[in-house]
Amino acid sequence: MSETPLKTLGKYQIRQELGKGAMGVVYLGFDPGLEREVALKVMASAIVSDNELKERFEREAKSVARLQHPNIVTVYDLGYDAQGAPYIAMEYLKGQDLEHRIRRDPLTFREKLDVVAQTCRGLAHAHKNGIVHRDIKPANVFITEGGEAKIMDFGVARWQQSSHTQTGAVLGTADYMSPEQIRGQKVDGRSDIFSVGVILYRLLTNKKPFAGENIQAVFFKVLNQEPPELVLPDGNSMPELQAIVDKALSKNVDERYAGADDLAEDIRDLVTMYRDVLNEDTVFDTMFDPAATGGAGEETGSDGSGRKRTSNTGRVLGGTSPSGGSRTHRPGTAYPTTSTGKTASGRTAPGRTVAGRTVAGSSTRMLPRAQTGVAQAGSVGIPYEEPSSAWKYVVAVALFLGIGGGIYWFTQMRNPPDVAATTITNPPTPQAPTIEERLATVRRALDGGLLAAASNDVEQILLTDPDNAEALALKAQIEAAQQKGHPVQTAQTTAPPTPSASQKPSQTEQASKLAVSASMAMGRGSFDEAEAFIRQGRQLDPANPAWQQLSQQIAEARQNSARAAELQKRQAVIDGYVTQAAGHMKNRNYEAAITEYDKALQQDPNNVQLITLRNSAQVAIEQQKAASVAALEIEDGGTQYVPPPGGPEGPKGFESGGVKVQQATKAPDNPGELIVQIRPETVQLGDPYDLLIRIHNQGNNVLGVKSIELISTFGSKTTGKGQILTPLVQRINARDTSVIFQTRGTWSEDQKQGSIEAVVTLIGDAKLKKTIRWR
Amino acid sequence: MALKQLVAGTLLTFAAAANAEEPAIDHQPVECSSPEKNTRVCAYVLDDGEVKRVRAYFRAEKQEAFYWSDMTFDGIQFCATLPVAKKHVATLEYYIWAVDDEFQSVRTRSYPVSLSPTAPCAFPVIDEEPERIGKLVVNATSEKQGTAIEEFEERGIIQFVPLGKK
Repeated sequence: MSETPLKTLGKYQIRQELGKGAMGVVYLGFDPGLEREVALKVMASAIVSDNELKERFEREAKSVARLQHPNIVTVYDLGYDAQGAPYIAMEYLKGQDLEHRIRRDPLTFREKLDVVAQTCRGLAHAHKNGIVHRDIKPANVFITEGGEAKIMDFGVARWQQSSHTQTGAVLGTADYMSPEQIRGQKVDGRSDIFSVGVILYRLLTNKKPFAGENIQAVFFKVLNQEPPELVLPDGNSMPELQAIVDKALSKNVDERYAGADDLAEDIRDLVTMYRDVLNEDTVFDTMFDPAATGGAGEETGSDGSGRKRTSNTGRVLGGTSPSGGSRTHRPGTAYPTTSTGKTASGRTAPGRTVAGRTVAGSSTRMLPRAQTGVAQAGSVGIPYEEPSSAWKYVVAVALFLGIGGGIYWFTQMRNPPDVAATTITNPPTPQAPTIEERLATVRRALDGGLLAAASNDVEQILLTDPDNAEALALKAQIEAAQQKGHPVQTAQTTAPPTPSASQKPSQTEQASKLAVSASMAMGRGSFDEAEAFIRQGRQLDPANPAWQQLSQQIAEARQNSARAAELQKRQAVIDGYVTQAAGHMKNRNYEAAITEYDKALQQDPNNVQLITLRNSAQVAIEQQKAASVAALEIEDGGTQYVPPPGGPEGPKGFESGGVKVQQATKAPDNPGELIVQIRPETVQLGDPYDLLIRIHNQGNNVLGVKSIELISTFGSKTTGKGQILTPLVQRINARDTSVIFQTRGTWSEDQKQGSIEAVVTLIGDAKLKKTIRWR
Repeated sequence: MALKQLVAGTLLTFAAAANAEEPAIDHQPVECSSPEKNTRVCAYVLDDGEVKRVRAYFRAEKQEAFYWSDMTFDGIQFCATLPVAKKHVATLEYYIWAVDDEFQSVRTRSYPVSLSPTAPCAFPVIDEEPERIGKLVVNATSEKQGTAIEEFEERGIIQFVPLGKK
């Protein structure tokens, strides 16, 4: 532990620093009067000057001080240091918070349920005292060494009766926030129950039910998707537990547990029910196999969320405490037993529906589903329950994502969050709405004065349907409105819910909304507009570092935009060259094509496609050159007979001195005709050719072949001289023709012209010679 | 005797002058081949006189000394079939050497041949002619190579010629 310069704080002695939180530093202190250790939570000096945060800090102290419950950390005192910074003296606990416990020392199955049940009891007490925690998450549930769960950090808590509760900035931690909290709507104890449901789900599965790559993605899932179904490691589900989780995580607040005690009771019954069934180290898996699950046609959810609910209020298990666990369907529970990879009847796979319509594609993991059926659902006539409210969904999702995410981010900038993902990125795209829905959105935006958004949307429609008459008409209306100098309205004017006049938002809240508007404008590419919002926001809340970050983001976005434009411009130039080159290639004007490709490569020297295209042109040139010497002109010098050393000068019957009459009817003894062939008679560089040597025996006697010598000459060089080759056949019958040698070569550059001299030595050492030349 | 030598020397000098160029080797390198197959190495060897000998020198990776086999004339090219390398050998190395009737010799640079089973060869140059792959003659170039070939399978080798035993 680090040493602290503080020695005392009020009446408390500072012993050591225990840790730093969002709002300040926590010290281990000692109360000498009561002789007990205390935890002293001191507001960070950097934010002391922020009255709102200071109020919030004090509110935590006051709110928790009203609560005396074994599952809520006890507050002893609220004081102020010499600089006026408030501090809270509270019960010093030994143990660790649930977040750390999950990561470092996993709980047993029973401990998990017990922790959740205890948390529920603590919350029930707070709710009964009119306090909603609003930031229930594992980091705010402390597990003592004795196994007690204690809720901490009521810093976000608000009095249920406070006038501040109606609207305002979104506070809480994204992964555990309830849908109504994200929407900035009024929250009550049931919002905390939703958060407990998230904790329960995470404990059971080691996964967050609404995990997303960024806050917007998380928000989208919380608002629109069911978490993946729980399955046991053996593939079975546990309907009762599933029903509890579903009820706690119901998006419809009226279908959630009415009180945290009910949830605690259901969990207690479940523990009893499954006492003999579950191992202590059981960890649930989640069923999420988009390829294996069915399509939207199976959906029978009655609540618009795609899942059946047992009752609108009360408990899932109905207060029964059956002995012995069961994994079969029980009356009164929501779902029959299912196996992994199969979607139970009446139960939908995660992320299926919102308001009776499919929203596949809302996250990256939904894509496979969209490809395997859900995406087709609309086209096969899955009816909308409320067609007229479809636009509401589209608008609401867009606004909630942007506004909710933006406000959350903004407030977290003021109060650094625990969650990692705080960057503003585009939310996952829901399944593309129909043209009609998009037109409705445009109309709505136009009606609401959101001209920039309407203009952007209508342009998008026209991209896909350029002749859409209604879109064109809307575009004209938007342009007319813009020309009239109609002020560009922002999302803040339509952000749900609209505060009433009596609930005028604070400056910080107004600044939050300006931050959101700036984000949204930036998302639309309206950088000037975004900067205008930032300027306004700075005036309201100059100390907030969010403005600088937003400005930086805009600067980066501008740079990216400029870079993209430059790239687009360069690409257009390249495309021009490539088009020219393609024309030259088509006309076999390869040199010209290479010139164009070289120009293109000057724009983008490392473009592999261009290099490949250029190479192909080069290859074409080579082929063209090769084709130019395609015709092989062969000059056959005729067969020359060479008598054996010391033998007659010619074959028998052709001796010098004239033809003898008595032998005139007899064929000569060695009248072999040597045939040298190259096939095919075309030269294509790199192509193979066959060299064949045949002998046609023109005589009446068998011709014996002893050996072959092939002397090839290319320019001044020769090869094969002295290399004796064995003939394929050694006997050639009278009047017969046989291939005595065959080989295969490949045309090379220096073989374009040359000659082959074939020397066949016959039995008896006479020779037949022939030379062919080609070019 | 002295006159004979003088005449012979004069004739040789004359022949050398008339037939002065070393052989030319035109070879398309074998970049890769299939493991457990015989690699075939071929080259056009041209000379202004007569090509007397063409050899393929080869060794497996990490071997110090080369082996060699005669490259025989197939009517167009000189070719040699190399023995099959053992399974663990991933790379062969070879070069071609030629000498003409004037004892002028030339060699190519060394070429690596990949035999990696994990990087299949698109155009392996292999010999599957039984008459050839079953009649391999391999010669040593170093006494250290002993009396048996190493890093290559013995199958198909009808004769291994240690150095000095030829």
